[in-house]
Amino acid sequence: MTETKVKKTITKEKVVRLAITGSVLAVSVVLGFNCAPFAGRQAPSEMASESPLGIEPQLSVALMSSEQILKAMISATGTESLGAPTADDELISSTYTLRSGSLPSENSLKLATGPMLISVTNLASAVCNKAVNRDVATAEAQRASRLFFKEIDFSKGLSGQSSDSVTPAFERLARNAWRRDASNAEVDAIIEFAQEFSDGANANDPQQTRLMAVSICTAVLSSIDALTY
Amino acid sequence: MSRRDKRNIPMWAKLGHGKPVTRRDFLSTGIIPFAAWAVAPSLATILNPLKAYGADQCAAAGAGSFIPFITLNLSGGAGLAGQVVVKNLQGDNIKSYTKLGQGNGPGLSYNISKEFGKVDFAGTAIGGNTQGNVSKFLTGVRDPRNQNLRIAALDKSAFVWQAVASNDDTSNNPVDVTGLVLKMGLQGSKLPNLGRTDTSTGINQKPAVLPPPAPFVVGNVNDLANALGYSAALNNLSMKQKGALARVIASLSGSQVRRIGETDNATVITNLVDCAGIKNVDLIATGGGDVNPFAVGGTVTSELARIWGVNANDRTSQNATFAAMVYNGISGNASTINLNMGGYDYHDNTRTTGDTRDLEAGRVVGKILETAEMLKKPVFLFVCSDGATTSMESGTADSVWVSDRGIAGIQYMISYDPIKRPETSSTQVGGFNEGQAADGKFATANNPELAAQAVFANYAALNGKMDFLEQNRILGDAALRAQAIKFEKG
Repeated sequence: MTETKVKKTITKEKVVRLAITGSVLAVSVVLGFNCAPFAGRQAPSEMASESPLGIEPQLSVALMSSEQILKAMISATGTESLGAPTADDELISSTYTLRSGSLPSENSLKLATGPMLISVTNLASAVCNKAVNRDVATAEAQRASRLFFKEIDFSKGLSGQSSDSVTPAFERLARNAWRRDASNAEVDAIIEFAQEFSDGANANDPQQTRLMAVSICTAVLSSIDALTY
Repeated sequence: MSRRDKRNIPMWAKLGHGKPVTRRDFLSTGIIPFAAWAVAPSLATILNPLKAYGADQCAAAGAGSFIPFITLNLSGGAGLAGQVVVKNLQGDNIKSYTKLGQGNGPGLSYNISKEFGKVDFAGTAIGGNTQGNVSKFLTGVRDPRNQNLRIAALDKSAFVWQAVASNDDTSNNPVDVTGLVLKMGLQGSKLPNLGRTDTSTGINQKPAVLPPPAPFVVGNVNDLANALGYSAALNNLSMKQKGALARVIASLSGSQVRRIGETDNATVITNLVDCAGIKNVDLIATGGGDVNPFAVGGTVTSELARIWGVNANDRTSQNATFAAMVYNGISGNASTINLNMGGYDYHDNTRTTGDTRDLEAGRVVGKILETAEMLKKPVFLFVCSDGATTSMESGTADSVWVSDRGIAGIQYMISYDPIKRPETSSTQVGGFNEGQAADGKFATANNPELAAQAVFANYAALNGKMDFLEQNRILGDAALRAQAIKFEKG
């Protein structure tokens, strides 16, 4: 018998196809994730039995598989691709391929290991890179038509931003990715992050503003509520 | 203060200094009345879920006291019983070895060659056309780089074989014990359990008794290197910014997963996830350290490359990948290591293919032992297969492998200790009958899952964890454990 190794790679074309069908998936993913798994939630006492070897109880929340994660990220950020693949699409595709070995192949939350979470973060950053570039491409005068970063002035460095510009973008991203409003504690955490991100950075470099936007988006897409259903 | 007001803090970058974050800062700004701070919970604890949950709790989970555990699966049904001189249940030679590729037996078709202190292997042939040892596994383990040099690590290694029938050519034998090993407490400081194939165990075997967490599948050295770093669109972040990102992700995920745990009364699972995020904060800050041992330079890199016979720039060969995985397992970076080698369904009516594969397996085992010696760390190695093979019946020890024969299967347990050879009360678990097959009179002989428990029991005994075996009823009762456990804690 020869060694079998199933490669969980996804072709560039497949990524593009995923992106094209993203708007349809956006509906199905959100509806599916919101309804089905929670319908049969059991009382804790019914789920807590353990064998002598401590086999864990069933959770009512499941981890998305690698392909589901990619679809959900694309849907949440509206980064579907309708034309020929761009450099941003290439980055998503290559990151997915590179990291596919450590993305979850099943739906158990136990698969959320350190390396898996790091791989998810890298994939999220590639998707967010595209989302931020799209918003950056919208002129400052038309900021209101951006999807997420309406209050951020990408022509300025971090010194030109404030918690008032970060918070609404974070809240929009959270609503799309987590399918709920961010809590106060989560808002505080992201403001804390923005502060840390800014400390020591070149405050006048617009590139730092773009990187912070990518990072905030990445943090939202990489957190557990964005990876479970 | 309303939520909106709270968020409407001044532009931090224009302040010239950061937000108040320490207790001293808050006191100075009057946010905490001076009289209140002494009895209030730490504000940092409230604001920082990482600290609130307890990074200490995650750090304490590291269990460096367990012996590293490596499984080498020879996928396809290797003729492992053709390498050692299998004995009957009383420890005596059986009458004939003609189906095991060894001809009439020791003293008749080959000379016994002792290794690992007191284990009989099939040495030089008497008659026939075999060059060197009949056991090519022995040749490989003694001299992994074909330099006419016997490796010194063998003098501090012990070897026990176990007779067990298993199904041929299938990945459905319940042989993998990593779930039990992890349950007992072995943990990696940076990486989880590693495997080579995209299966539930990382090798072509099913789990015995308890499934392990899905392994991190290592296709090549770069997978390990990439596992613990931020890249893609995060390349241009400073290390400080990467650290901040890891922290906020851990913070957001931590509170979210703890909520799941509380709802579902499943805090064990959610704590694992929570800790994974917390550990990542350190890992991102350190860039993974020596997870890619070929990138750290110095003696570690050069010695590892020498032992495994690879160029330090090699990131894709099997030897380089095995070397990196084994290094991470023995050094404690990872928990269990599952290696898989294909091509062991080698009954192609030749002896050449089988000899080549057996030699290769022996060399890998030798290199693993040498790696442990280089790191001055112990290791427990479990060599297994799915089924076995049979030779054309012949009086000489050079007959060809002709078919599957799972009833003639055996497994190896090898333990290395950098101080001295581990003590063993015997070199075999179970034995062979006169039909040249695993003797069913011993409980584990026809039950691969029970045999796997015996392997785990020996590992647990070496770690002094007999209580774990008793509490979890491993191998049934104390009487069977006494019969099957051959390794003794030093």
